Amino acid sequence: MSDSPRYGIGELADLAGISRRAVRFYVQRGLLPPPAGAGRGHYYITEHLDRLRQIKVLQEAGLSLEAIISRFATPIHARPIQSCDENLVTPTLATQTPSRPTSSLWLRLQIADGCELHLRSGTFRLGSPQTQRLQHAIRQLLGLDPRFPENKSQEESSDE
Amino acid sequence: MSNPINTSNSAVTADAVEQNSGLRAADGKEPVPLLGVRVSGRLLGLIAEWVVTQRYRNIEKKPIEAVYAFPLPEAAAVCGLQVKIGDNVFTGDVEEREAAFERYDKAMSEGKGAYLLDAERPNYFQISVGNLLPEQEAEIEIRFLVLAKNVDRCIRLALPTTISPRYTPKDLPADVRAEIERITPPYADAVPYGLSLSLDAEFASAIKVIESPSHPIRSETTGNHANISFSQGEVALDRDVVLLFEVSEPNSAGAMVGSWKGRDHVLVELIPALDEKALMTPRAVTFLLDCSGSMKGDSIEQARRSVELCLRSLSEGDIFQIIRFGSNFVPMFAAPRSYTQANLDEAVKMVRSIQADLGGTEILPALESLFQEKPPVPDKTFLEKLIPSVFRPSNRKDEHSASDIKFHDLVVLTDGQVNNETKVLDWAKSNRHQCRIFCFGIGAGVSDFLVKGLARESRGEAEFIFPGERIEPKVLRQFSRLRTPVLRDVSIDWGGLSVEAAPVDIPPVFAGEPLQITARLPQGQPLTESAVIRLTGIDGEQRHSWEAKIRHLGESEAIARWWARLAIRDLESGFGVARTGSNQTRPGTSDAKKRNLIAISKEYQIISSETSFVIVEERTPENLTQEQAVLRRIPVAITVGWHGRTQIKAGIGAQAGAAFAGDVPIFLRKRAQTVFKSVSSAVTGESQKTVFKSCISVQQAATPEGKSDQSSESNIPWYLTLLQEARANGSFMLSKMLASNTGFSIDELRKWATTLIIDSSHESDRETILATALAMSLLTNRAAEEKPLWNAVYTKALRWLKSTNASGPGKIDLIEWVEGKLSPRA
Repeated sequence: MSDSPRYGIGELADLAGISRRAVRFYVQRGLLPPPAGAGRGHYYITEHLDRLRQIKVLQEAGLSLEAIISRFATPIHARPIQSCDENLVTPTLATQTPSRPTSSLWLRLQIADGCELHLRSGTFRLGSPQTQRLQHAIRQLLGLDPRFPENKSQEESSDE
Repeated sequence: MSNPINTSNSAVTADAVEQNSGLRAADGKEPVPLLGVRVSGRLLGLIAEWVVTQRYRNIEKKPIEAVYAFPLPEAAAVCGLQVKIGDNVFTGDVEEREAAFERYDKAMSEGKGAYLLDAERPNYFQISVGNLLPEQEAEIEIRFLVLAKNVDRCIRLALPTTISPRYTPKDLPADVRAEIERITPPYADAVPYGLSLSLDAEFASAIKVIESPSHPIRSETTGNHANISFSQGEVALDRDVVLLFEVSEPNSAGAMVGSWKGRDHVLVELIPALDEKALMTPRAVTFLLDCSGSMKGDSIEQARRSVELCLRSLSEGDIFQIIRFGSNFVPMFAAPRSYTQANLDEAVKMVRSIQADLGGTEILPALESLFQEKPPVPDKTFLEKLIPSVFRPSNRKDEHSASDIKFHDLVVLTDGQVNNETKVLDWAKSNRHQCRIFCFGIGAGVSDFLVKGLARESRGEAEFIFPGERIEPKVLRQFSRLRTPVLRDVSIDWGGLSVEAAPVDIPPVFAGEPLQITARLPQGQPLTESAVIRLTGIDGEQRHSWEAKIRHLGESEAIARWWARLAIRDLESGFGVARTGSNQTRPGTSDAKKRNLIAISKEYQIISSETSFVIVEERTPENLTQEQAVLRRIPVAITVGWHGRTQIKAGIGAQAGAAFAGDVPIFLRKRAQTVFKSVSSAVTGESQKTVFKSCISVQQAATPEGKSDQSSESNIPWYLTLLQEARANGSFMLSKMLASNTGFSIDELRKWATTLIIDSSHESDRETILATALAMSLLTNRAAEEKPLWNAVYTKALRWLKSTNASGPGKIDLIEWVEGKLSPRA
């Protein structure tokens, strides 16, 4: 595990496609665990990157920061990542991003003939109001009756 | 394995809330570490130097990171950051934005004190005050320069104090929206910190009037010098601070040369005398009226009055259209219409009923619709209910298609509260060949970046109207700019030297208005005493030139920094810094421009979009924090009057935005609401100390939106009421209002009308002909000083009167005859 990548804030921000200031802001808002290591030697690890990518997915789905914060219900700034050498994963993160090589569970929802929606299980829940709204909106975009028919979905596991 | 980072941060909030219940936002749970804001300034002629001091104190048991988003004028050259902690003073450096942040972030993680000032927009700043220890106090000083403008002997200074909640358009990408969320402050109805002001102003000529439409002020004036402060001491940060000065002389034009770091920098102000005759070539004028929720209350009322006044200043032959916008845009007519009395009447009737009821602020689609033959209608059913006429097939002869219009004059009325300014300004810039924007910023907390930016990028002009401020002069001034020709093919000869001028794009020169432009001279090539700076341009058919007298100021940081500010703006908006002679921007990629921007920003220590101020406060080991600082975002007050929450001018309104329904905060109920005026004794030269109180008592009863406030109407000068009676063709009707201003009764005037010599074809217009001559005579003889206001209407009236061929008894010139009749009563 000692060869797990360590990122500086700039590198992490660039990889996640957000600003350095946003990384700091997310740590302060409890959306992202504080960096590992102390003082001068602080650094970020893969779990931070994964979490940032999750945040991005939710933002792209139209969620506000407040909504994302409430989604990650437990304030995670209380549980900083210790270091690369330790068990990396906090309990909340464990269900979503187990240690590498990672696998994740995805929901596959058929919206219409030839159109599917893939959602990461754990981040999204089948039948939740949010998931329903998403399906509803896509059907509207496609010009279909927004009332969603019987869910045709299946869960599949895939490597990330 | 060890982890020094605190693991019990989740307890912080609970801890903190238990202590110090005094300093909290009215509706927040967290303590507010910002204790107060002080603004002190020195205005010397045209250059104002301001210092904003923010005082912070950590009243919690944990170290904190205070983050405060605040506005400054969009033109501000922010040139200094200092932190005072006890007796220690730390001075900030301008560094490349990302490098500055990394220094800040590193210092934070090392437990040091750290301070970071970011320019998120030209008028929107965010300061992070990091690792403030328990009980520690820090005074942050932010220094900036702005250049004032003397137009018609009036100088207007405006300082924003809060950032209104802004509308974020739907189509912005997720990462942009996330950044907007990062910099959007939490809002509160009331905040526990206040604002105090002190300004020391000195002009070249005597100060006649100092007034503030925004706050009661105290002023001490001696000749051309004044000291100004709030009469209440401290005020809420919920509206712009607006100060208006009237001085006895226009600014004398000239070139001020200042030396800095061995190089000369020049600030030129020229007021070219142009032919002010109104231009009667037909114009195509479109009004774009912001009807979003944030315009509710005072703002929409002012916008309605402004549009009506503009409509009356149009001339026959013009084409006009009115487009309201919010979440959608709604054109008033199916297509632009000819300016006729019938269309004017129809438009005025509709304008008077306009409400701020269109939701969001999607300004870009509304702008884009201007050139579309058949603008797409976003929500047809919604629109059909509103204006069925749009969907009726039209064969009207007085309607015009977009392709008929070669050049648009666009009059935009908005509070500018949007988050996609850059896209909107890009549009204005790329369409400047076919559209010029005259923009009105309306409200108590307008985004000046959008309003001034629209005008700047399209080569129009901007005016700002604070609630309660007189609208008419501003509207008519804009219309006079729109009507009169601008100087063409303008060039400047900088004494034969090859200089770096900023702005690169010489601003439009309107009649009687100052042109301000700066330049940096080449190293080792100062401007000699005998050098001449000459502006050349074509006015009408003639080429003219004007010279600026050179005045050497010796060392001057201010002029150098002002050049740097304008050069940075040029680089930010895509222009390079040009060297005269080549008339080309410097070759190079956007990377080269960015490097140039950072270099100028660092050399002159002026913040920019690519740079930030940063300070690291080294600490003794025992003072290094051992735990992660708790974020404390400073709540900011919502702009007064926003979403019609309170009507500033007319007292307290009944309208509360749905999202903010509830009681109006007490401190708002106590607000006074009119223009607070301080008149100095410029004549005697004696020092006067005057404290002015609110002139009109606060109207406690609700003023239903949409009904105009009669008390404010009664203060309108007679000539403005008269201008409102102007008809589409320029003529005036014989009315009681007109008669009362002549001092004769209507019956007497009717008798005069019977004596006029008139073509038989104009027989029925006899009274109208007389009324028009009377109105023109009243304007020229009794409102001569206000000529810029009535010139356009007057020219229209004169043209109409000439077309009637009418004369006084005995074939005497009609105007002369009318003036003779009126003079005994004058």
